[in-house]
Amino acid sequence: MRESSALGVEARGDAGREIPAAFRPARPFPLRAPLLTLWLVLLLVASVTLGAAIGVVQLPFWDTLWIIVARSLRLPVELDPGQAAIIWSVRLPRVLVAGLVGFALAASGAAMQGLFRNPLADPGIIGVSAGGSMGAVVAIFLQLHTVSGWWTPAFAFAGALLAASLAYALATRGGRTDTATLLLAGVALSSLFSAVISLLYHFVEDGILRQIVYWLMGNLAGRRWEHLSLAAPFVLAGTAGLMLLATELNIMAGGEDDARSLGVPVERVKRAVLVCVSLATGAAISVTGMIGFVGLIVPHMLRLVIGPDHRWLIPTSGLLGASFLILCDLIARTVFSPIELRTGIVTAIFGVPFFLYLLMRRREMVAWR
Amino acid sequence: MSHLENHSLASRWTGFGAGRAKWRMAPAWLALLVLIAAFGGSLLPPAVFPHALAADAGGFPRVVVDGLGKEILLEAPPQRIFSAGLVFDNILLSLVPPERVVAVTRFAADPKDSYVVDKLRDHMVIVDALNAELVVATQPDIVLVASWSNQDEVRQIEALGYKVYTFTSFSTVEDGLETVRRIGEITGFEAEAEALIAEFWRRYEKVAQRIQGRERPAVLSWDGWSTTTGLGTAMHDIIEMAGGTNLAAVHGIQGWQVIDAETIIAMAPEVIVTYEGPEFVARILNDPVLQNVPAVKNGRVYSVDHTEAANHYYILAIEELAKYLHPEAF
Repeated sequence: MRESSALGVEARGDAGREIPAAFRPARPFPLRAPLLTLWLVLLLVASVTLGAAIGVVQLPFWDTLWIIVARSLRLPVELDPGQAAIIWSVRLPRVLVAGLVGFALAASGAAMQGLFRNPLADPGIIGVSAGGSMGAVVAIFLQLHTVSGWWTPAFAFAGALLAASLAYALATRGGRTDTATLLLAGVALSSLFSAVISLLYHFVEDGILRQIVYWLMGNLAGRRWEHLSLAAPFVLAGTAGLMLLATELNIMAGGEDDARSLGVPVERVKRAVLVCVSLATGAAISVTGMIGFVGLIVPHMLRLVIGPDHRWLIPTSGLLGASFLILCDLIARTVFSPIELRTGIVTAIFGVPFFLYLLMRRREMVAWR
Repeated sequence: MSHLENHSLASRWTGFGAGRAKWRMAPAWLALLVLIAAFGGSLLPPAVFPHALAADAGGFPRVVVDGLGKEILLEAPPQRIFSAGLVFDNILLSLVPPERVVAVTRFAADPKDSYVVDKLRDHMVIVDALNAELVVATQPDIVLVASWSNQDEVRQIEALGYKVYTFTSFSTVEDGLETVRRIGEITGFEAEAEALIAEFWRRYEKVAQRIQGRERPAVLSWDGWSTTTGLGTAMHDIIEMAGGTNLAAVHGIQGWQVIDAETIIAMAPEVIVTYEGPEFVARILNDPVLQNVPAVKNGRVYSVDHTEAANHYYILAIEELAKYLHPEAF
């Protein structure tokens, strides 16, 4: 059977029916992607500013900007210590961690959908999220989180990498990795890890249970600069790697056999993509916990606009993902104030309708194949 | 935000008085402190005060140890207390003047669970839970959190230089009284705290006298989550103190455990107690599966309030349940 491309590199319409834009290969307007990138950078700057300026404590907008400028340039000026602490030590790290995590998840999601040629693939699909969660939950279960704040991220990161390696090992035979097997192995491992997490629920007291729930629901409260510096190197390295692999991903979208005949080292590319995604996603979720749907919906939004070229899709997904998560977090912490929602709830509330819409679109496509 | 500046000034003074040896200085310093406070700190340079805060008739400065074993130095009785849990709202506002509490949870305004609705004041910030921004905005001397508070947020607040006291035990009646005692210790209102605890035991003595020598009915607790309460829970203590025998504990259940109707039938409780209210009681009484359970057959299913008080108000639950278990004694 010829590889059917959900991303539409070989898309063609039957009986003159219009192909949905998401699956149309050619960009109708060549400058669209660079222009969009510019807009997305501006959107990100605006999101960071908004995120830093709005919070439960209302501070004057210009004071907020002044504090950020003065602190980042280390200007020797007298700032109101309370205001500076709120903006610089509480809000800004949180906003930037949200941006970093959104960037990692969306860029990884774009690459995973490309690699698996499956529009429903997200960065967690090979077990990274569930493995990371289990690592974190084990750390909390062992009460390591009371010893030091860094045990939970460390365990989460280790768990994420372990899960991805395990899924990869299960799907690899004789030097070749079957993507369908990898996907199934990832899903199966995720279910297993989720079950283990649920099992641990029965053996922990209320205080520990709450810490686990904070983590599983995606938690951006209490993020500090240390969290940012902890995750940033891995996220930046991982996503940079994905961008370097974009051309190979484009060719592989047409089918692995075709790519092989064109001289693409398919297995090496696959392994490299998986390593990059595991690093970026694992580091991201190790500082915030599971945040769903960012990696799924953001790349699809962009596919609708600029098409499936990974050279643009991966960086633009990252940029939009960063803004999306910052804005979702802003909604989470302000709309029902003083009640603070978990950010994962907001991304899911925006994500689920879009996910369902995608499912409808996909059914339509299957129908005319 | 002028109070922020005042606070930073105050912490600069207090930084000098940390030596333990100086704590027992003449109480005259307290009078001086009051004088200084009355005239405003800005009149004198900070360097004058190294000894001013080092002595206090009320036993401050003092070191308190929180539930995690962390030592916290309190230079003076906290004047700005941030509460990140309803359990602290209830006890704090029962002990200290409302002016000393800068933040309470939104649950403190809900008469269903709050004992202090009338003590809420306009200056208090209402929080959902712990919130670092609101901590900075209210500049508390101490922040009261629970082991179930978000630990990342706790760490962030500590990193910002605030004193955080973590409570870890909320399970039993004794835990509830211990929380009262500790909040008394933190706030310098230990006499008031001891009075509340003494009142608890005085009222319990009355109950104990009335139920003395009477047969103890077999009681099972059950709630809407199908959970019963075994050893190490407040409900267990309440059942036992009200003159019943907690069936769950008899069957070796520890803490909170889910049980099904089959288990209830097998345990055959003489009384079923819940905190869920009259609708839940009616549901149990009308449940066809449970019709042969003695408690249901005899209509001895009761809903008791205050079983989740987590403070000295547990006595209200004990008194209420005792009347249900031993109606002839009251």
